Amino acid sequence: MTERIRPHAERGGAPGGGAGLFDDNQPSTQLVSVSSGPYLEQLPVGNMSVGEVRRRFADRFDIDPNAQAVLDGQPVDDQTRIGAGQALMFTRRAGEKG
Amino acid sequence: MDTLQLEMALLRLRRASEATVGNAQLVIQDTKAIATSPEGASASMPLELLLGKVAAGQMSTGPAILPDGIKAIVSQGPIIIWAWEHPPRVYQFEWIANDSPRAFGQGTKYRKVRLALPYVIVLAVFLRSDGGLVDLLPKNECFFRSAPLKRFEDELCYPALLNCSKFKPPEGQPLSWICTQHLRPTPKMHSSNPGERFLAGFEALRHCLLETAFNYSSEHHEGTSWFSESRKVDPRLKTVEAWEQATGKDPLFVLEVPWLKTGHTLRQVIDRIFTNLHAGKHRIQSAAGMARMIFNHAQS
Repeated sequence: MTERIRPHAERGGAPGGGAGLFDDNQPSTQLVSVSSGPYLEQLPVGNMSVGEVRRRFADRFDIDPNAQAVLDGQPVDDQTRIGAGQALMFTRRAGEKG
Repeated sequence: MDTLQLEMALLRLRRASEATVGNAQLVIQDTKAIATSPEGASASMPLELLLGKVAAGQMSTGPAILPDGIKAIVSQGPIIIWAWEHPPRVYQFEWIANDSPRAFGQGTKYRKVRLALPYVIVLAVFLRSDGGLVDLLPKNECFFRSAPLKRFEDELCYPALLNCSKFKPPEGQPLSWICTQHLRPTPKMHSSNPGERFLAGFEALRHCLLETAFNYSSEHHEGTSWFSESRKVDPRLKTVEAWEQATGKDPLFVLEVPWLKTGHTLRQVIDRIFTNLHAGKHRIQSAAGMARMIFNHAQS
């Protein structure tokens, strides 16, 4: 059987399902840098609350329920709205060095 | 390599895999491997070279799915080093307060500080046992850079952080040791799954560096910290208050700071760690070395 390749115009962006770097209409303006433990990703969660991100990514990012949310270096509560381009970190403060 | 050259390389690969020497005999004698064909033809080569060829080019992440930010993995003998990079960002740290009654330990007073850091590079050092399991060693190092790592020849700078220790003299010691005295091993660090042990060890180290409180223990135990050493390089680092203020004005200022240069590239720092830990001595170079491995395996 002759293999049929989907026309380029119908393909949905870069390999892996993500939008291609030069694709139009990518929601890059909503991207937020989210990190927890060793995980660090750019996610389209701009305008969501910290609590929503915590709930939606708790399993994927192994977010400790007691982790403190820190937005651009400021501790915030779960009601805080996240702005596009901000950096959200979930940190577990414990102990000291030395 | 053009298409024709690529085809030829694939052909050579296929022929090499088809070429067998029936009932050949291999003898390892001292530092030489001697092969003899059924027809009596004989050839020899240094054992170390043979083992290098056998293991050559085996790129693999081993048993682990790598965490975000791992830029390179390098190993020598039983030592494995993960090079991790975290991009510039603003952190909130617990930092020793100016009016703390103690320099470190019980009774130390801390306050929250908001500090921008440039690219943070962590070299996590693991030891692989004869049984194949890995353990995080307390020999891990931290560095700063103003740009992302692109080559092993990129220079590393010292991190302006408390508890990243400067040893005096530095010979035989880490260049920028991450104080892990109070690192608490997690249950997953004792897992029977090698991949899980890697990840748990790395995460414990990352947590210890970035999420536990900073104090003056390095100044007391090792000589000094790279925060104390870096205070002269830029007025914005002279005090932690100045650093906070500069962060508030423009967090990207950390990409313009002339961080103290180590004078070592990433490759050189990694080689230095291997040397300090005598990793090269574990390389198999002789029949006795191979015999030791076989005896150890039989006993494990």
